[in-house]
Amino acid sequence: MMMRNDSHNRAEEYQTGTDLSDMRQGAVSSVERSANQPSKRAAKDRENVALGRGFAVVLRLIWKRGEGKFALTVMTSWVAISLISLFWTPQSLWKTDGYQVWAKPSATQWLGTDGIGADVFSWLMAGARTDLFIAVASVIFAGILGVLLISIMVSRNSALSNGSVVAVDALISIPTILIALILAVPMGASVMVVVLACGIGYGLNLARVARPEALLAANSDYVGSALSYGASGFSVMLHHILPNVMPTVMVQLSLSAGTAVLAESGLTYLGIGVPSGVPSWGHSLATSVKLIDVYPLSALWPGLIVTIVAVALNIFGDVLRDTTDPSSNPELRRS
Amino acid sequence: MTEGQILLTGRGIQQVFGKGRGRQIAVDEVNIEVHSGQCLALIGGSGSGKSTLMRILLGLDKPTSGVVTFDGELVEGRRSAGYQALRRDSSLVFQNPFTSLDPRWTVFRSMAEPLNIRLGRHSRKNSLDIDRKTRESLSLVGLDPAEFLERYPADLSGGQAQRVAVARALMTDPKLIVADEPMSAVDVVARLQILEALAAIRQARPETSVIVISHDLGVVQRIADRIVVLHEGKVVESGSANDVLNRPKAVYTRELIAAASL
Repeated sequence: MMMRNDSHNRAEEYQTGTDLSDMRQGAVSSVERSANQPSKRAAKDRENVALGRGFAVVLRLIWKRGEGKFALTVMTSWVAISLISLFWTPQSLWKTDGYQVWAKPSATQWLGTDGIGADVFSWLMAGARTDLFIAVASVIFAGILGVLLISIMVSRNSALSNGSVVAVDALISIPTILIALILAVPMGASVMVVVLACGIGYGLNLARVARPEALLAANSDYVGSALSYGASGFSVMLHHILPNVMPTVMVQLSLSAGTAVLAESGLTYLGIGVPSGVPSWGHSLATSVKLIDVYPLSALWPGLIVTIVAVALNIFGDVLRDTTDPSSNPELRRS
Repeated sequence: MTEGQILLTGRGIQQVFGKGRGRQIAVDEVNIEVHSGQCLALIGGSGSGKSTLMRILLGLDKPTSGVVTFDGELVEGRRSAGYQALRRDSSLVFQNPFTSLDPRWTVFRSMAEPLNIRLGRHSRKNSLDIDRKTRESLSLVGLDPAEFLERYPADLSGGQAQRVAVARALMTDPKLIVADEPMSAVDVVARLQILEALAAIRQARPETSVIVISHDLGVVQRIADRIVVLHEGKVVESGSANDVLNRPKAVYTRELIAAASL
């Protein structure tokens, strides 16, 4: 074992003592030039560029994968059809024909007609926008509620964090459908019942699913370091903890969007979701499913659409998780 | 070598955990002082009380008895002048570099964080200053800024990540850098690189004090001026690095020397 005889100028001697440090010296002299020329770009610009580039890269990466293509195609068509349906449907939604009920698909009625002779295809098109609104609104609501709950659950105030964990665990035992039934008493059947019920249910779920990851980040040394330099709890939450739970939140919310579409169908079928007269996939399903023995095709179309959209949203969540994490996705780290 | 002014002192520090039969003295009547510009190595095995002592010296925990001063001010509670000075003028380097760097942040962002927190990043002058400083610090620990600034921790080796953490500790121009087992989570080559980085810092900023906490005498012998050996909460050996390494008095120190690596 090497023991040193003099304690003087240890650092200096060490600098010239070994081959390794010579290499390091070389490295330093070659980099010092760049050290003296600070980049013209402000730090903030750099972050924004990285963020925008990250978004484009993520979309490209999702598109690169087969299942990602499927999910993106379904989602884009969904949005496009919703928008189109606001201005145009092949047949008017309110044109009914008592002599043409449960008609087979034809040139004018592409998917046939329903029990009151209205065009099934037009109603499904218009249903897309209601379901899109419900999915987006309940995801936003769930996201806000979930992130708020996560922030409280990892709070440094132990009474607050422990209390919120117990509260979330207690509330999560109430099924979404029961929340919807309770809300339907004062509100009646309405789109907002579905949005609120889904938002509350998925928000609680999100908080519980993302809590371990948020705790891991909250107890990490990088948070400890930021706090030791005087960062506020809010800033640490915003810049360190939330970005690190975002992958989980994204996936969970994508799954929730799929479930919200399913929930709309279920709740509308029960009569506490979208009121009759408002086009939605659940509405189309509810009116046709009673006669599934006689006219199976009429129940097939809305069922198929709901299934495809729910599956696409699930897949999207999975692909999104795989592609958005720079620690697991080397492509995101390349500049 | 001229001794600088006294920067950090601990007098009669005792930390007791538990009560009754479970009572355990983690740190027992330790006196310690760090001069500015000095590199002090705090050595001890697991359970020797070195981490407890470090937390007390940094004002993070309150000792059962004893007094800590920093820069002439008493460190006592979060409002005290000494504590504020400690927070302002000291930096920490953690054991595991990969948990001390945010995996979703680039090297640049992680390094700029301490100054962003202190100065705010709203003024253009500040952000240019931060930019320049980041490059200087990174060069000092032997990493090329052009190559490393935009990297993520997942693209760094253990040694590179730990050197980034050391460079981040430099950003606030601290009077004291405390490194808690900075070399125990990385491989042998990386240890050398981190030692070189610490040595380069000491050369470039001779007024900066460094406390290195380690269980391994071997890795600190190259940079430490003074060595304090802790065993079961007591200081069993303390003196200049030269004396402790070549003329160890305590049996425990001899065991440590025999077991040392590098």
